[in-house]
Amino acid sequence: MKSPVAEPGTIVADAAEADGPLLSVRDLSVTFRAESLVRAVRTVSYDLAVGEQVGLVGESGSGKSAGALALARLLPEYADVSGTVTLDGTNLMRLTERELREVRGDQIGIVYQDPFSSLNPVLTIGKQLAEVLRKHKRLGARAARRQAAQLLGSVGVPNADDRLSDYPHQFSGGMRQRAVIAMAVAPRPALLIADEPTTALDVTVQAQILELLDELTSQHRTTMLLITHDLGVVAGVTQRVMVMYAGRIVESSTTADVFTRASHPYTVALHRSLPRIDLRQERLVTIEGQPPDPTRPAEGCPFAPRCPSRIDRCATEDPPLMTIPTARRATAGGWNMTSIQDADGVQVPGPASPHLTACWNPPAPVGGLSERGSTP
Amino acid sequence: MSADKGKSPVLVMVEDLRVWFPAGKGPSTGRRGFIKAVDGITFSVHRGETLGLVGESGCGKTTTARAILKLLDPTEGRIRFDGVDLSTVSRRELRLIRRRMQPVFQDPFSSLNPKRTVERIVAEPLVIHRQGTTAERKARVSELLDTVGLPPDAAGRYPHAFSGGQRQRIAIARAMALQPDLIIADEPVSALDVSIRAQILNLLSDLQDQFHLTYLVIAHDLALVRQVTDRVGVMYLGKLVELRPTEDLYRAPLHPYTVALLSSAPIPDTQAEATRQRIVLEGDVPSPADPPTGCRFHTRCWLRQKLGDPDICSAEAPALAPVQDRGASGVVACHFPEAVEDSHERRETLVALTGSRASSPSEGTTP
Ligand SMILES: Nc1ncnc2c1ncn2[C@@H]1O[C@H](COP(=O)(O)OP(=O)(O)O)[C@@H](O)[C@H]1O
Ligand SMILES: Nc1ncnc2c1ncn2[C@@H]1O[C@H](COP(=O)(O)OP(=O)(O)O)[C@@H](O)[C@H]1O
Ligand code: SF4
Ligand code: SF4
Ligand SMILES: [Mg+2]
Ligand SMILES: [Mg+2]
Repeated sequence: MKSPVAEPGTIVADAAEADGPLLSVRDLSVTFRAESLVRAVRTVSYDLAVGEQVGLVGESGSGKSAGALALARLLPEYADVSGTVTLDGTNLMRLTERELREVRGDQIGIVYQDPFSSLNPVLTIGKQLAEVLRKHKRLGARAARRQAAQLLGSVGVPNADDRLSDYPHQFSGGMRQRAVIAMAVAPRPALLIADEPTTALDVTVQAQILELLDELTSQHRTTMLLITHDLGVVAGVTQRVMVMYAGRIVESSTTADVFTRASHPYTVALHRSLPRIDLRQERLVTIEGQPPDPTRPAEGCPFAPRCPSRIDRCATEDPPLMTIPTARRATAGGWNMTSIQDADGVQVPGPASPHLTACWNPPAPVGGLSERGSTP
Repeated sequence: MSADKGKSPVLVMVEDLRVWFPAGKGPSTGRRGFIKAVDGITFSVHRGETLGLVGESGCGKTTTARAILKLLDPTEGRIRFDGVDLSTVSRRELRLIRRRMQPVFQDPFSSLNPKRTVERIVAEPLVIHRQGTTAERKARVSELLDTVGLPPDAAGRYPHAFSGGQRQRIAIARAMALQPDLIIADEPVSALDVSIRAQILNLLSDLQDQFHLTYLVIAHDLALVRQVTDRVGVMYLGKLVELRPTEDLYRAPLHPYTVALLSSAPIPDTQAEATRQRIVLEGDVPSPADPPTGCRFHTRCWLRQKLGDPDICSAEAPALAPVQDRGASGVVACHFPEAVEDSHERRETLVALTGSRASSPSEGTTP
């Protein structure tokens, strides 16, 4: 259940009263200076509003993690990051390392795929929870210890009191992820980034963790960016979805739209190529070729080599995100980048934005997996 | 796929297989115990069929596969390949049998030697089993590369020059080199990009048709398992709890654990996700070093709770019994399968999976 009001006095409630989005990302690019330059994220822009749960979906290597880590400036030195990231009115790109440390944890919580990366193996779970509470909620040592048990219980760890003295390796995978979630949400961050939080878990545990994330973020009106390669995962938890391919957002809409009226050829192909749990298909539809090499970004649309809807201009012009009617006019010819921007302005995915697609020739909207029970 | 595969001859027979690994001292007893990774499972794989094994990690799927491949010795029980008992087989015979069953592993990055050309990798089984002359092997490698959809010039290159999907093709070419009867594929696509999984799954299916292969496929993705298998065995804590023709399992599961697995699977449908009622299994899978008494699932079973904790669940291990009497085929290990059939939990789960109440599946279909 979504609770409509935030708890008074929290950072979240303050942000809710402010105008505009909680998080605003503009032209974010990430390039790793590895052996060759890896263009991991390429001019990505989007807004997240207070209390939204938004999915960021794409296959491995599409730039999801790099883009998310860049938000909290957690990337290594050899990553070049450009663009702006504004959280609750503050441009995070301008903060000093010290200021950033405050923001991380206090305002941005992060849950990674591997809970061990957030835990210290030689400290008990109780110590680590208490430390978070002390630091971010400014509690005394005793109060922090008392609240740690409560916190651990609140994320569904049974016998929380007894388990505070356990070390991370004594927890099962699912319980460890619960503990990490507890630590991430304890300071009541305005934004929770969950990067493949259930990918390493079994389905029965995955279902529990997704439910927990949904519950906690709804309860506190925390904005959640849920990152996953698994389309199924976002269906139950998010209201909006952004699809990434080759470092760009290629489609953005409500979650329901992305499942029932997918518009970008990549999203459409992905839907069709997935095995379905509700029926056995005669033969899976394949997407030929493979994702592009991020060290050699090609001219034009990154999906062009694999795209069944490709037209001439796809080879030379990389399509921006546009509304579907605009994309249709672009197909008909005569529309170039300048005229698109003149007509509609640059389209940025956000809570109120229409269905957007980065495609010069989107096929008629196609239902994906959710047109179910129709074919035998 | 033909519905008759279940009636074709048995290629692999697994009888009461147990694989126990020595474990550290138990906390309560102080005695050295065992991790009962596989603890008494019986099933067969028929020629030409694809049998799937599913279950949460640690339930013993990979250990079962390794026992069949004779990469480890059973603690107890027997495995027969084409009638030959692997525990008493002579070395010579074992060599011949090893040629006939080949593994494909999850991770094509670690399973290929980075210092060898693709040609050497694919030819390796031919060399080990002294098949053909150098020239013949070369020709066979080109043929194999073509079969799995790799260009001829792949032969001279090294694994790192290939993407994950192409590497899995190389691994499949190597597995095919000796014209095996059986391929054991352990999570064959879970390490691959989502957009190329279908390519590999279709390739496996084409190879099966072309070369009359038998598959044992291990996977945790229930959608994938429905797509590629003829029959499915569901494992829990070292035991088989249900083994059914695939369509029966998905349309009319009979074990509470199978229902719970289906109920947990994410559905790419916002409507279904918004309205479905999930069965939430409490707690974690218990340790295979100290499995629960009676039915191993009893500590987490939703049905047992609903039936008011009948003693038999914790006292007596249910046998894997045929389900013919309810007009279905296969076997299930639960004391109360009829209560599963009548449960609203199962009804809700199936409704969510199929998307609509109207097209809710027919119960207990037989293929
Ligand atoms: N620390 C790093 N150093 C060099 N390259 C990196 C690093 N992290 C990610 N990359 C590269 O950047 C691209 C995007 O990676 P990532 O954001 O991790 O993708 P995703 O999270 O979508 O799987 C990939 O090509 C990846 O290899
Ligand atoms: N070589 C080994 N030594 C000790 N324990 C093992 C070994 N291999 C597997 N196990 C244990 O046996 C159980 C079953 O493992 P496995 O067959 O790999 O399960 P699955 O493939 O279903 O995930 C697990 O508890 C695992 O930790
Ligand atoms: S822009 Fe062209 S190549 Fe790219 S997805 Fe659209 S139709 Fe395909
Ligand atoms: S035997 Fe009892 S505990 Fe086991 S699955 Fe059946 S109802 Fe559940
Ligand atoms: Mg990632
Ligand atoms: Mg395994």
